[in-house]
Amino acid sequence: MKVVISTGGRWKKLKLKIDDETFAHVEKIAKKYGFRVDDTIKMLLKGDFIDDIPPEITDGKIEELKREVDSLKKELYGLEGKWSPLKFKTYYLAMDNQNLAIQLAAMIAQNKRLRKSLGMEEKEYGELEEKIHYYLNFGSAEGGESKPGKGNVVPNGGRG
Amino acid sequence: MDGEIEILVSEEEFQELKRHKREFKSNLKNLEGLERTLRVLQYRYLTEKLAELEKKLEEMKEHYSSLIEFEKMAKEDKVYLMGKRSELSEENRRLEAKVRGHEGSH
Repeated sequence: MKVVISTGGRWKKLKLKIDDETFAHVEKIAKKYGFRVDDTIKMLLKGDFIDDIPPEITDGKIEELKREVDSLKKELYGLEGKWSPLKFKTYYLAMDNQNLAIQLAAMIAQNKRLRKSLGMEEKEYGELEEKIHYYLNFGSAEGGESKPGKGNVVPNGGRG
Repeated sequence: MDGEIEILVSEEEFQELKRHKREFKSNLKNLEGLERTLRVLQYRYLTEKLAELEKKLEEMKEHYSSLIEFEKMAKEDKVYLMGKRSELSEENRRLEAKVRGHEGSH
């Protein structure tokens, strides 16, 4: 096999020869460890081999790591699959609450006005106003808002 | 079979590879060294990948449980807000009628 290394120009070329049997072996090793043949040939040319190898690095250990990686990927994809629709659902739930908060803010203002006209004492809306404030600001400050009670998530649904 | 493989490299890498041309023949005899090197590199890659996935999974689990908690809170809040809306609507209707009554008597 003829190997031509170049920078893409016409003149700068480095020509090497590898007998077919050796090339097939290089190809086989590269494939086994997931490397591209051209990168492997470059490595072979530079000869910067790692000689000091810990004994625990065996092909068996590599197979074990591959299985672990695959299993974690599977778990991650599974969780992502459940997470996306839930994020979407909670976003619209929070939007419903935002609409309710808008209505309630107007109703509280009306209630205050009516009570004033009737000479009645103003009502306390502590907890309700806290929730209204939270849902009115929902999505405007990622997680930075004070939350009513527990919960530490401001999902932004379909907006990214 | 007389094939040809062309490898395109940068100018800098070309110069570096050129410097090693003489060693190529002897390196070709050290395929065991090459295999050992690739094995170590793949081991490093896989351990890094594993650590990265573990971290990502941990974060994802945290996000997911926060989302579950948020959903529970938002559902409870929805019930609470709807209840308050009916309460206020009723009260405002009553007060409105009273105000109208007052205005009518003047």
